[in-house]
Amino acid sequence: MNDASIIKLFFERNEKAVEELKHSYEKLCFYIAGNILSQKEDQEECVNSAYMEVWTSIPPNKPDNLKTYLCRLVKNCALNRWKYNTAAKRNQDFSVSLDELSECIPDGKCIEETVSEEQLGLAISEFLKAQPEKYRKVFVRRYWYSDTLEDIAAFYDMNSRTVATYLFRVRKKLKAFLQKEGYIDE
Amino acid sequence: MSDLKLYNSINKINDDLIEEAACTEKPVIHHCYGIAASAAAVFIAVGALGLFHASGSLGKTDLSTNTPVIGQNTTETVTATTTPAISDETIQTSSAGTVTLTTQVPMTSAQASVSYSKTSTIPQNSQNQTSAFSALAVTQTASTGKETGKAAESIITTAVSAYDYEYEGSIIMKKHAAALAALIAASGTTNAIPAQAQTQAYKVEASPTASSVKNFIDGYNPDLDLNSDGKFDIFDIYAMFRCDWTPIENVPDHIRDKYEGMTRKKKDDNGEIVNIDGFDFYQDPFYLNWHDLAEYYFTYCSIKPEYFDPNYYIDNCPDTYTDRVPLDVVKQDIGNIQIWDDEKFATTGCYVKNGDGSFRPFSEEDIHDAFYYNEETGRYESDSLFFFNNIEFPEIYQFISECKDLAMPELYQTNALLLDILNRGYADTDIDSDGVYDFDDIVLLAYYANTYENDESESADPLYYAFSSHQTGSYPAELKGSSDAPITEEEWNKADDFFDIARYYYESDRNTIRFLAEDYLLKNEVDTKYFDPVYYEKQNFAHYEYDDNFLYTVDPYNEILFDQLGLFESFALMYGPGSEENVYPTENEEEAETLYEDAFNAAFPVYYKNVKAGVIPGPDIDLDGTIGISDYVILDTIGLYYVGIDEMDSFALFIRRHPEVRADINLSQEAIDNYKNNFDFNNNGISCDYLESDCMRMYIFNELVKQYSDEEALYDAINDYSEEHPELTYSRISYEKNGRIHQEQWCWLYKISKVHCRGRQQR
Repeated sequence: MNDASIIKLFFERNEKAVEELKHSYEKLCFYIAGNILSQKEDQEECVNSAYMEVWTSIPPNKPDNLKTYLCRLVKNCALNRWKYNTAAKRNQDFSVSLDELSECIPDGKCIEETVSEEQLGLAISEFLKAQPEKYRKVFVRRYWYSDTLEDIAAFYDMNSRTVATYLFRVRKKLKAFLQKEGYIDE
Repeated sequence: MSDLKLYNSINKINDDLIEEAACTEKPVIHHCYGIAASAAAVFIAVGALGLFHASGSLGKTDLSTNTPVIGQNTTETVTATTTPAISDETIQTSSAGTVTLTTQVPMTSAQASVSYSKTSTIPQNSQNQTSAFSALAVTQTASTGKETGKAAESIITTAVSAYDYEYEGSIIMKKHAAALAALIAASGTTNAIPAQAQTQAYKVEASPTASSVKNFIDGYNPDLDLNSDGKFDIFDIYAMFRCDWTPIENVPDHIRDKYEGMTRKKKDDNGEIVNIDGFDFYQDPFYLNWHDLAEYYFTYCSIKPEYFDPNYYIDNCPDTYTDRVPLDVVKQDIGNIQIWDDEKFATTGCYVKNGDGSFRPFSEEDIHDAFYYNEETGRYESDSLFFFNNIEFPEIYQFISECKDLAMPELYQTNALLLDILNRGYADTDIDSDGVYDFDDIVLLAYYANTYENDESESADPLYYAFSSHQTGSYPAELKGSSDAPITEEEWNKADDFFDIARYYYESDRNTIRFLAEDYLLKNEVDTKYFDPVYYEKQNFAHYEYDDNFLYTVDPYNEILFDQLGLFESFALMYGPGSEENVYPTENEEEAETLYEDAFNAAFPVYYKNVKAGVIPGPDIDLDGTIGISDYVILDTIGLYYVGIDEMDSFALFIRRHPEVRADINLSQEAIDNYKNNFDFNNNGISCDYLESDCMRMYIFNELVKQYSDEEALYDAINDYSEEHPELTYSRISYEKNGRIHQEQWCWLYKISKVHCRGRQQR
């Protein structure tokens, strides 16, 4: 069933909507949750929470892209869950990607407090759109989908060394961009 | 926690970016060699032009100024006059050895309009006419230079019905349009429809990006001479890179001022920013950036090995930039390097910051700080923080690296750079050391490229392993001491040396081999054994297996050259010496499909009318007096039996050269003779060519669908009939004859070519 039909079921408050949603996107949801949370129970809880969130938010929301809408909900839930988990339960790969992002912020400095995450997200979107497609896609797979380097290499049929190089380059440029645009608190 | 805030912000990027990254497709440009099996028949249908001479004068034309770069000759960059526009001198022209061929293909009788009169003529194609062949062929109103049946013609007179069956036929066609799509992908004996008169030339496709940039430059005339030295050359590209991607305060003022005033996008008269066709995913208004400009430059202006030599920029760049690593420091390290490879580039392009702000070249002593051993992957990997804080890559190196990464991969058609490298003697191509460079050397290189296994650890970090004592590309252990080894250790080492150089410039070994093979075939005739799978099988270069209808190499990664034999043979026939004797299909797949569709749309109503009027026989293939499912299925079966003969895929090459392995067909001789002789409606000398076969299938389909509830029910009935008559299942190869093992899984690896050469058709 296509997304438009699924959304229609949500608007009709037909419980089949959730079944169809699961049928289409369950694998993807677990993939995203699994990149952040290592425990299966945590992943299940997040995915189910996301389905509930979709049920309660549509209507009145009518997302243009149901897949991305759902993915965001899963990811946010997973992130929230991750914050509450103890260090022992943390997904090591996910921690690695945060460490990498810290390179984008100069030593001893931080992101401007007055800048909201939404504003910064928009700015980063514009930055990414100005990058070559290859770099952009790899960056998003790493820091939005939280893929490992090997996952990204396999996904795009690339060499993992190349993936690391692309990420390195984009982080450097992002650092320069954040400084130039005044998002770093000097 | 700023890193978490940054991470959360990334979490809030636009949906389209998230969606884009979910797509596994790389930005691949259409490659004319890669077509799916289902499209092959259409391709062949249009491409196979049958037995027609290429008439008219043939000329060899030089590349136009709008043509991308191919060939060997290079020219220096142009000196502009008042405006630094690109002059014709910057456009490379082909050398005498790089041929562009044109040929005229005449319109044939099958394209001619068909008229109906009370008299018509029909050639008697063979001596095996049956009683079914009592009707008439249509009158051709134009035919030029074609071969028809050889027998004497007889004149038969008949009356034509007044009912407008032709109109009815056109309605049927529209009604079963979906069925038509399935029909066209089926089989036939060849030569569905000849293309209209057209010229063909060996030409290089430009990437959409390069074309888009060209359109922009042609339309809006931006001033590309960024360094204002009166010419547009690689140093302007470098200047744009420095402005686009490195701190602009390090760029000379005159360049920065010009860059900031440069026309990089344009509004049309309505004030709207224009979209240039073929631009990227976002379909943003066109915005010129340095790597797209580099791709344009390499495609239309010049591409030379020195553009990938850091020395070239240090010694020749007329502009003075502020570089993080002083160029005199870099020059000390690389001044003696003449020929570059990946290892030299990696080891000389990395500098370590000293405490006093100066730089020194990266050395073995730095390995311990810069790399760590990853137990999970079993590799030494770079410490990204160390690199971030302590390492600098000279901007020139960054430029070269990014050019190779971003601009070069799209130049898949351009062999100019490789030929230049070979002409300069950077790499030795006489792999077998027999004193000459010939196709044997290309075969050895292809074998090496297929067999070479990239050491996983090497690919993890070339910088680390450049300083280690590891060895890569060694002669495979399994070949040592083997009497069947297709390549000696010495030849292997020479191939390894060749690719050390080639891989610095070309990411894809496949492209390297393709460039070499095509260039050679363009200029030389070769023994046909090089297109025979058996030759490679016997020489142990590749091993082949067979499926019902396909011949393929056993190793799915063994595709370079050995699984593309039909491709290269067709290339040789189309463009090599003596190719003027052959005919050429349209290169444009979309155009080819359109031509065939147009031809079918024109032919079927006429065919339908003629059958209904009794002018030509109905498609009673098995001669049982009725038109039914059996005729439909048999039409397909016989078509499969013959379809391989005229094609250029590896299977067809094999069958043509070794017809003794072709399986027997399980049909009556009467049916076979009927098929072979009695259905040449367009008088091209071939009964049941693609067009005729498709017309017949459509006719049968329409007659039968009346008996069923809908098309789906008819399809089911056809499938049921096929299952009930397994004797009609046809495998092109006789497994018993050939003694091969049938494999459950197979890989679609070969490409169907497009050429049908006169005189090669066999029945």
